Amino acid sequence: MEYGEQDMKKLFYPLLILSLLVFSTGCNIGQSKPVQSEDFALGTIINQEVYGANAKKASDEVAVKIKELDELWTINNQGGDINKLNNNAGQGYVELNPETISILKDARKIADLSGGVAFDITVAPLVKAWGIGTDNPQVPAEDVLKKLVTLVNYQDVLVDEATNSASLLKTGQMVDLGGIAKGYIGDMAIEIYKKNGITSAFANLGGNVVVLGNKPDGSAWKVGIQNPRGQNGEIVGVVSVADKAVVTSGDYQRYFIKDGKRYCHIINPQTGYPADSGLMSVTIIASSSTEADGMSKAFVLGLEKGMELVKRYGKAEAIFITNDKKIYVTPGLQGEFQFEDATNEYTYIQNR
Amino acid sequence: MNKKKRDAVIIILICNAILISLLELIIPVPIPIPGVKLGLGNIITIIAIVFLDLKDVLIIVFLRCIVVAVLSKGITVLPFSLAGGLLSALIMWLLYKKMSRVFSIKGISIIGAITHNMAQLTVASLILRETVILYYLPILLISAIITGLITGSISELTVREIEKRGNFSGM
Amino acid sequence: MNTRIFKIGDKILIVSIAIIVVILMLLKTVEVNPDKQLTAVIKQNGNLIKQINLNDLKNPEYIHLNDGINQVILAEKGRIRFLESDCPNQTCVKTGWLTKSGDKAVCIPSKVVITIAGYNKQVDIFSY
Repeated sequence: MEYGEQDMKKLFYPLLILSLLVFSTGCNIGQSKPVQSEDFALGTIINQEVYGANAKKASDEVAVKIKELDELWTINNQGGDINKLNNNAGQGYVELNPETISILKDARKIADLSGGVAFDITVAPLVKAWGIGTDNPQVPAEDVLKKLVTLVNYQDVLVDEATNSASLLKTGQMVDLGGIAKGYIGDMAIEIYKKNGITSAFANLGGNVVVLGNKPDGSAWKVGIQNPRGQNGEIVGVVSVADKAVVTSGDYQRYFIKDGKRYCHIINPQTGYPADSGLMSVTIIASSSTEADGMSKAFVLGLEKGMELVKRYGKAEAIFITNDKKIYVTPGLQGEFQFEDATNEYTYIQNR
Repeated sequence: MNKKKRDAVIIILICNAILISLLELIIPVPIPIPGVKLGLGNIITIIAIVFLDLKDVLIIVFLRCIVVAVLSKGITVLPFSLAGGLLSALIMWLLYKKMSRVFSIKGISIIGAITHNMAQLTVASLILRETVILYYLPILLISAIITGLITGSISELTVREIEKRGNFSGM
Repeated sequence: MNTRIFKIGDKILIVSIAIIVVILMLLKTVEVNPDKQLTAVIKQNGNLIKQINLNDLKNPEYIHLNDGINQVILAEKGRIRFLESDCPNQTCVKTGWLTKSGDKAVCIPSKVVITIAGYNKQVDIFSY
């Protein structure tokens, strides 16, 4: 048999369609490789995964920026902005980096949301007295704590934007950005990615997650929520998110046990004691990572009041895990939250 | 055009399709993939495509699927057989009418088998709510070549024999 | 018409399918990461039934499912399979042991899927 040119032409399109069909399903495996990086900063591990042409440049830029801000903001770094601010407490304004002024303003805004009952950066004197997360944590005497609590007031952080300076009103007052720095840097990382034309990336700042866009295959990022009593990486559920921050505050992150009692690193600014509100963890999902970080301190308020605060804020969804291993999820998140508890110890309370 | 003879042929083909599909259940399939089978019913589909209209072909496939589902595997598998059977019949009909100069019946049968298995796995993915197509794709393509060649060759021989004897002429 | 003759389209079709299969197989082997934790995920109807870490398993574990169709799944250290099933075609049981990341066994009548996931497959990022 002979085959003319016409037959070949006829053959071309069906074969083209067939191979397109097959490859469109096959292509997903051959995704472009992301740039993955791991750095140590902010007292934790920073993971990044960035896709796209400028991925390397963007993730390097983020890593450099994090180191820079880490030096400015670490409370014990001599010559750093926060160290300067604390040393000059009660002695008037000191000039600071514009970035520091910006985070202090953000901290004020978030503290205002709860009137300082959940989140307050001036909690530092208490944090220092407890020393949780350091080599020698201790339970301070009650009268010491009583005295220190009077120093806690976020409204005493005075910021003068015109001169890029700030001050602490009373001697002995101290600022600790530990409850907001990772959140703030998360937002900053996203800005740097965007500036570099990146459309798909995530940064994990020691458990504070920010994601940009969707995964390269178009699906949502799957963020696992840590089981508060499980091993690292053991989860109780997964949230699917795009363009969001996922921040968890829990009693398991840093704590010490004395006389059978568990003291966690999140100090209630009102009582001076580590939070003991019946919660094991609070996860906040919001567009702003700074605000999510701050809102996650709703942890100190307990389930009822914490949920109320999240509702009042209005721009976040949340997952609350209580001591009796019940998981509560805000209504807006229920479609995106998948309860996945391999231990069979948790209960997912759906109707609330 | 003899409509009565045509109807008789359709009925004979439906009966044959059902019988042959039931017969196939006895033959063990070495590949444990949901929906993958020899597809002997395909032989009848191809004969129908060669000698009858598209409408008749689809009727034959449709009735075969329903009867076989009821008689053997239960009604739960019906969506699978229908999706696979009808779609592959449609594709094979198109190929036979438009492309039979480039594809022999064997080639058409292979493509029919691929379509059949893909459609079944798509329905399976929908029911399981999990994508299983990609995972099974390689083995599915290989088995489609083998089963497609077997059924295609049988169909070709049968079609040639029918043409030679003129059994279906004058419809 | 001679049955022994393949037309040109047939030849191209078979060759291109063979090439596609080889490519897919290669991609699949590249994907497998042997030192990952093996986690078996059992889902029914798209919902998670159970997740088992196969590396840590010391004693064999039998999982009994009874949702219309009786099924027994057996998990051992490093592997998992459908052991028994009341479904008509037994495809799931015939699949045998699943031993490596990406392996899958499916039972359509009961809508149960067992998948072996590398530990991180389920989740992209951890919030802790």
